[in-house]
Parts: sequence; C-alpha cells; structure tokens
Amino acid sequence: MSVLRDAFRELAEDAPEVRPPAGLYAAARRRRRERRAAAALLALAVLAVAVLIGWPRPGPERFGGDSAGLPDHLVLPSWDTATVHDSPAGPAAVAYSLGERNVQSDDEDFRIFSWWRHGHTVSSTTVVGLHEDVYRIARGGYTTGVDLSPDGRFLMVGGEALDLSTGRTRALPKLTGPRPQAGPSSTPYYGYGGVTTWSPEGTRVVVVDQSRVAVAGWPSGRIEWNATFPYQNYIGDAVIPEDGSAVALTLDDEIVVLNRDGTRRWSRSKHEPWLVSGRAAWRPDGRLVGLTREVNGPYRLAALDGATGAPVDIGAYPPVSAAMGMEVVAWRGDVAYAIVRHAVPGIYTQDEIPFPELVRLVPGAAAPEVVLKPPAGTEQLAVATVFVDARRATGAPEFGVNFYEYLGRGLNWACCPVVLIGFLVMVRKTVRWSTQV
Amino acid sequence: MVDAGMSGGMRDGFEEFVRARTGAFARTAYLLTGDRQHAEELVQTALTAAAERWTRLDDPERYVRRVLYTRAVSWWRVRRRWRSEVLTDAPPERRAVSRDDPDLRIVLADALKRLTAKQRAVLVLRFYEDRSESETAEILGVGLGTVKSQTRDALRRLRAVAPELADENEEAMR
Repeated sequence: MSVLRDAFRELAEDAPEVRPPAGLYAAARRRRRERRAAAALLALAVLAVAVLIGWPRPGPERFGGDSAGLPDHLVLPSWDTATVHDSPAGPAAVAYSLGERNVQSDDEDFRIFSWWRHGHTVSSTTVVGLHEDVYRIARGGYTTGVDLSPDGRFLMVGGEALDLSTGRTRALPKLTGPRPQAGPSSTPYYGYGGVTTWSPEGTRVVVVDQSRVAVAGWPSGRIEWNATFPYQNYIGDAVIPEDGSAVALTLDDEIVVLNRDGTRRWSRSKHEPWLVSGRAAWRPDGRLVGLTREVNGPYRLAALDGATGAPVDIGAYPPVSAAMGMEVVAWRGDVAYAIVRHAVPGIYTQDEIPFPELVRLVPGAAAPEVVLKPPAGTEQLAVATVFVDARRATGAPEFGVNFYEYLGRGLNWACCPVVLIGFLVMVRKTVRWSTQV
Repeated sequence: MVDAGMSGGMRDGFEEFVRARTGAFARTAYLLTGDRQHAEELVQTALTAAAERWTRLDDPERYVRRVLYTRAVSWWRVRRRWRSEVLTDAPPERRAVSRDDPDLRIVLADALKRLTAKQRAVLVLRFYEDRSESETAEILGVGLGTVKSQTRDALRRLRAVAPELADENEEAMR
C-alpha cells in the first residue's frame, strides 16, 4: 500500500463522529415541501405581476391619429396610469379631475404613504389625448387643476405651464412692479387672489395678482403690457379679448375693466347681478358676455359693451337650471359652448358638489345641449376649446404603465408583514420580560 | 394508511442508511475539508439533501458522495473555510519525518491545506477512495482532462511541500 494511501487512511481516522439530529428525515421532507410551496407562490406572484403590467400585452387599438377632436365619451383611468412627466402623450382634448379621488392623488395628512411620488398633490388631474384615447395623469402643486390651454398643449400647474407634449414645465411671464402690499407677506407669487389664464384662442396669457396684471404673447412669453391697480383681497376671474387690449377682472364686489395703462375703463357692482365668467367671455365683436341670475333662478347669458359697460342685446339663449356656475369657453358664430357645473349631493357628505358638463347653447333653443359628459364623480372639467366642435372616434383607452406606482405600492404592501412580524416579536419579548421579572 | 405506511418505511430505510454509512461519509468529509466542524456540517448538509430526495434516489450512496464533493469545492464553503484559515506561500515549519513515521498523517494534513479545494477533492477520490479517473470526473462533474491536470498539479504541489510522499507521487505521475 502506498505511503499516500496509508497517510489518507490514517488521517481519515481523525474524522469527527457525526450524529445527525433526530427527526432529520421528517424535517428535511417538511423543508422541501415548504420550499416547493414558496416557489409555487413566487411563480404565481410573478405571473400575476406580469399579467397586471400587461406583459406580454398587444398594443391597444387606437383610433384617430389624423384628426383632432373631443372623444365621444370618457372613462376613469386605472390606478397605474402613466404620468405626463414620465410618459407624455401629446396635446390633450380634455382635462378632468375627481378631486382627491382622482387616481394618484396623495393623502392630505399622510404624505408618507405615497413616498415614491414627487411633491404633495392631493388632487391630481387626468388628461385625455387630442388625437387618440391616451390617458395620462398630471400632478403638480397642491391641487393640479384643469386650466387647459385652448390648443390642449399646456396645463397650468402650480404656477407654471406643463407642456403635455414633453412633460416639461415652462415659466409663465413674470409680473413687474412692487409686490402686493396689503396682503400677508407669505402670499405666493401666483397664490391666493391670483389668476393665470389664456386668451380665447390661446395666443396670449394673462397673469394677475392682487395688485398687478401682465399680458404676454403665448407661447413666446413676451410681455406686451404691465399695469398695477389698487390692492384687492380677491381676484375671481380674469378675461381678456383676443387682441389683449384690456382685462376684465371679477373682484370681491365688482366687475372692473382695466386699460393697458392700469386705468379703469368702467366698473359695475356684482350685486346687479351680473358676472363675467369663462375664457371666451370677451367676444371678438366687443361684447363682454356674462351671466345673470334671478334669486334661485336659472342662469342666463347676458352681454355688456366692452367699451362702455352698457347692457347690449345678445339674443335669447336657453336658461341653465340647477347650476352652481357656468363658464363660457368658446364661440362658434352665435353658438356658445360652456362648462356648466351642476349641483349634486356629495358622495361622503350632504354638501353639494359641482358636476361639470360641456354644453352647447344655441340661441332660441329650449334647453342646453350636452356635448361631453365626464365620468361620475368628476368635479372639474376643461376641454381644448379650439377643438370644441370637432369630434373623433373613441377607441380602447391606453393608460400606459406607471412603474413607480407598482414599485411604491408593492414595497408598501411588502412592508406590512415585516411590520406585523416586528410588532409580534416586540410583544413576545415584552411578555417574556414581564413574566421573568 | 397505505401512504403513512410507505412513508414510515421510507423513513426507516433512510435512518438505517444513516446509521450504516455516516462514519464513512464523515471520514471523506474530513479529508475534503481538513476541519472537524466543517466536516460535520458537510455531512449533515449531504444527508439532509438526500432525505429531501430520498423517495426518488436510486443510489443514495452515490448521491451523498456527489453532494459531499460538489459542496466541498463550492465557492462559498471554501470562502467560509478561508476566513478561519490563514494560508501563506511558505510551507509550514515541521520536524522531519520518514516513511515509517507515525506522524505521516500530520504531514499529509498540513500538505493538503496547501492545495485548492478541487485539487484536494481529486486526491481524495483517486488515492483514498481508489476511484478511476473517469469515475472521479463523473463525480466532480468535470472533464477527464481536468481530472488529469488537477491530479498532476496536486501531486506536484504535494511533492514540493511534503517530499516524504515523493515516491508515491512519482508513481502516480507516471
């Protein structure tokens, strides 16, 4: 026998005495069953996630593409709808919001529950494509709002213009002159009392705060004129004609029209009653269209001369009943398009909440004609007013995929058992400690 | 009842196998690892793996030995051993021994520590278990050429660090 073999055999005699634990067979078989069950569960989970995120999923059928217009109907977006920021889908035909129930809205008090989202937006907005049924979520500011530009490309978000084609934001024209003096020092630049909106065709933008106004070309952003006026606590609405030569402001208790140099052209008390409302209120023929309303009566369109403030005839438009408000957003000849906010009982409370619809008001008609009705629960609605009379076919909605929603919600759910186990361990330790003491 | 009876029979068969063969597995594991604690862990790992697949194993002895060898050379086990062993390039100092010296096993133990896990496994298979080159290649899951080159390198290394084993090395090399 060789030396090496002898040495191996001698060395092997130093081996330890191994005593396998009792129940090794049963424990090993049980562990194998558990592993197989865990693997099956994991495979199911992977399969479920793959199905949820739509892989492999054929691309949804899209409609239109060549023609721009409003869709025939709107649906609610899914919870994992992509955002404008991550997956911009081009100009929008419609923007609507269900308030804090709009998908991807943050909880007002528990921001940490949605840690993966940027900022803190308690009311997001859903935008729907101008050419096809692509749904995206816009977030920004505390509440995003639905101030959509007439061509549908921009959305006013948090004091900036969000470009729906690129997902980037553009700064709005800056106001010049001394900041408002009478308000709280912390008043934000475009905060309380301030208004930003577009001219009827979207070629100009007006920015107003409590004592300053600026009108600029859009999308150039070149300032055309600035003016200041005495401090106002409240600016309800701002309307400019398409040529941007003046601005009509709805203040606390009056309607004021300012010239380019900031001087008052005329004013009327709001108690008369008369109200300027809507981006298209100032018609190209110089008439300033507003709303009149008897006490508890329906709204009716009325008109003033934009130059003098004197009442002028506008014709007999159908009354709008049971409405909380109305905004004239476009004209096609003498036919007016307006967003009407109907009063409906709240879902959670008995307080009335507005349910908006796009209606067409034809002179001589008995009642408004509903053009577009958003999903139930919608609180705010806007349309690309340049395309208000154009319709396109509605197809299968495409929501995109928001990877961050999957990641964030998945990790949140994954943390639940960890937190639970940690809690149980802590309770067990506490009980043991107390019994030992 | 039939299933329970079958399961009980399987368990009895496994326990009989463990009683009969654990000592042999422990010796092989000790030669492979050079450490009593690691050897014990390795045997338990292999027996646990066998228990998990017991109902489907045609040749449990062959399966357990294969697990012993493959796990012994797996990178994470080797890494664990390295944490507790400090290897140097220079051979350890030791007193001179002859072929008839009863401490030859100590020489071999020191020399084996100078080898890689794979070289060690090849030597154990070839010179402790008297496996052929092709059997060694099959158990380790490598090619015949790899076994030959590993054996050659291992014996050369042994000759360098333990000249007392040179005669046998020469024979094997041939």
